[in-house]
Amino acid sequence: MTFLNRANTPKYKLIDKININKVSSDFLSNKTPIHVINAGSQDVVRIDFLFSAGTWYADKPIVASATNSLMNEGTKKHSSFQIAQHFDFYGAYISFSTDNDFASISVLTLNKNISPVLSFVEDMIKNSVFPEKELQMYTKKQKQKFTVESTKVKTLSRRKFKEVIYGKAHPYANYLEECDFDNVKIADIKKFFTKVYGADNCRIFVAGKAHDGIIKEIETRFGKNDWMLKNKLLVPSYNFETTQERIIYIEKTDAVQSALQIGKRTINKLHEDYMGLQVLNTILGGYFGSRLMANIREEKGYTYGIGSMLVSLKNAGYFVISTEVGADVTQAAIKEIYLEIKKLQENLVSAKELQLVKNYILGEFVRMFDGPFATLDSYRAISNYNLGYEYYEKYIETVKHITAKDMLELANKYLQQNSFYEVTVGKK
Amino acid sequence: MIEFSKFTLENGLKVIVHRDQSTPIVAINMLYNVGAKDENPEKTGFAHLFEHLMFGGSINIPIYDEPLQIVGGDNNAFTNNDITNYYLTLPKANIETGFWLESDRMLSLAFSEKSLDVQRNVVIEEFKQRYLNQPYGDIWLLLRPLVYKVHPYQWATIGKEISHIENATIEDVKEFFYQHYAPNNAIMVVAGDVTEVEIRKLTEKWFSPIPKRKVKKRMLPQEPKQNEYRELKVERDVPFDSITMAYHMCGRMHKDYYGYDLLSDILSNGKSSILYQKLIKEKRLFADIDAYISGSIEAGLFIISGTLHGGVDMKIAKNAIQEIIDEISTKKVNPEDLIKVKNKTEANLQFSEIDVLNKAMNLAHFELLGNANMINEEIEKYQKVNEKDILRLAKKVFVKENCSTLYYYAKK
Repeated sequence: MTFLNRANTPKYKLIDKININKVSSDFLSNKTPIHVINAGSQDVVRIDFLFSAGTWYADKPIVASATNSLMNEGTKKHSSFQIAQHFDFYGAYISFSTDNDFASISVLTLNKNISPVLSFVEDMIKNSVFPEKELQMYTKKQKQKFTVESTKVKTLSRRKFKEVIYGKAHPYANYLEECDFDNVKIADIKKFFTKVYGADNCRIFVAGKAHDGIIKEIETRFGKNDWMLKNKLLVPSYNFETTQERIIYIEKTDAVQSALQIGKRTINKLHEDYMGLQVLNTILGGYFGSRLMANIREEKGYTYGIGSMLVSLKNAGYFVISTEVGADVTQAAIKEIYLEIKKLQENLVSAKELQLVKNYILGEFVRMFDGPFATLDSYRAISNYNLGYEYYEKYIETVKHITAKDMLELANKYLQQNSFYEVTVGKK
Repeated sequence: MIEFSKFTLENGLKVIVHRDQSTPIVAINMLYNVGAKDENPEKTGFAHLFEHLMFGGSINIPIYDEPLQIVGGDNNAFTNNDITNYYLTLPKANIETGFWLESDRMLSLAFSEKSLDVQRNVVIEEFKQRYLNQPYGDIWLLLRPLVYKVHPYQWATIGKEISHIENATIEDVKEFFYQHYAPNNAIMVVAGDVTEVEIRKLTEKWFSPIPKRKVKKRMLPQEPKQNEYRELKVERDVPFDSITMAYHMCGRMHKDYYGYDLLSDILSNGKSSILYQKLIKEKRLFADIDAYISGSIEAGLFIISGTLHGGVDMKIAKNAIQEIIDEISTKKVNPEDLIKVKNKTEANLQFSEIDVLNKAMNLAHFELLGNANMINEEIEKYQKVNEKDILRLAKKVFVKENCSTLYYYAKK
């Protein structure tokens, strides 16, 4: 029997190329863009309708998300119950989501049920009526959710952080007060629906076994001119209003853990440094073996988890380190966080660590394009910036060739401690 | 239909191979047949603490995560009352790294004091983050001992109390490892663009040198039939009242399991379900309400749980749930409603077969239950349930003496 070497990693290959299911892009007859990923082994399909209908476009809080959520609460033809019964009967999932820039309606169904399922989606998108009582129920429920969330240190720290880096009045701050839930009127919802939910403000994404029959069905239902916007959508603009104060502390006397958010407003995907900064972010706090995890969880045991994120939004991005730590070690944890950043600014990352992180990121890329649905999500994420797959190709090349010196420079350019906001909720 | 092949090594390790040529990723799932139910009542939370230690270095490999990340892999694990499950995904070309890593920690851990010290703290912080510092976070910590008086399901995976974790010693860790972590107490599933031949070769190479171990025999005390209604009232610093009602039901392998699952779906799966329509939309008593089964291997629970709207009286809310329970225990459900939840179950099964990791986990779970091929027989078992069964089961489970209610009041 040959000796089994358990001490060293077996031979492995570095990821060199990532096979991406191509997207075929086209337009419906009414010029609505449609992007299709025809792949997968299961007879299922997911269709996303994406509108520029996020909070950015609404002049009052909650209106954008309420409009999106209430689209399945009644149409000219069907009651809220009939709609729910219909989707449940066909085992289809319909989900609604709204963020700062976009709102989407996403449906997941077995291929064999595509016609009845899409007929109801069509009805909702074209004929929603927004009954008054449904709005009341919605806002009551959301208000209660908001109140429950307000007892969590993590939520409070996140809200405060967004508020201080963007300014209360900016849509990216998502600034809400309880009374906002009472101030939404049905007229606001109807007005917003008419303003943004039209074919000329919509993009359609399809993934799964999306054979010709499916595309034809979409063309028949959504390719006509009967759901165009009445007026051209104007894109409002906003200013950032950040506070002078950079260290914010909110006390919660009964907290057994403190929540921390440390970071800043920063560049987004459209900036040339974004990919490099994303690599730096991974080293610092973007994966399980990151410096922050290694030090603050695995070395000190201060927390169950700590991480950093670089998030791109259409008109800005933000970088944040976030964690919940034992209340008694709050200051010690903050100190270690800054220490880890300082190390990145003063010392070159070792070749071994950089190689590890590069491999890890490339592995993530393989997962990002594993199967039609993951591929669709990855495609949507760049399509929102009018970028194409070349972006990912360039990304992969950037990751492969980036150097330790690049990391040092980026750390000094973007992670200066005096540019950060530091929010602590819990105990000092 | 999920096709797979199966073989067993001489040391007892069961291996299942599923081929899916559509993905560049291979998933490896390693299930150990040990969970919180196997813990000593004085040392609870151990199976879960142990899961953390499995990443703290094995006999030949100082850190688990690093070599996996170098080859582009990712991993995680979870523990519940029945099992401890480890899983990883990695690019196909590098699967051998997965075999190397998993076999080394099955062979032996490094049993490092430092790792134990740190992971004790990490788990204590997890305890605080998920159960103590969250509104409604301790519901299950309160409910379990109310419902189970004898069976080890009476404690949560995180443990009964923080002190049990604080007191864990390296001797405890060693004992636990050799009693439960063994090839003959594990099921490995490999799913992806792989063949049985190559997996057999790799498994022989890395796992066959690991000796069979004497696994501690499982002798779980049976929970006696509950004969009296139980309730617990607590007051916490939360904004709204909540209510949880738990009823004893059968275990995962019982033929009635499928009927109970569909009954819970009829009650609360989807916006057209009974509880959602009656209690959220019509009567507007609840902000959220859910009915579900615990899905545990041993005799489990049928649970109805909801958060009241502000200003709603607890008694009124409870009576409204009771009214629905009474109705479904005396009147057959609408045949359309049963077809609806069956369709939904069928669609869900199809959706769950998209992801290769998901398939690997499910195959391992069914193999533990007795036979991986049950994964392909599930739908038939659900289809067989009829309206009479639903009525019979509702009558059987929704009995006052079988119920434990947790009233969770918001501090005024």
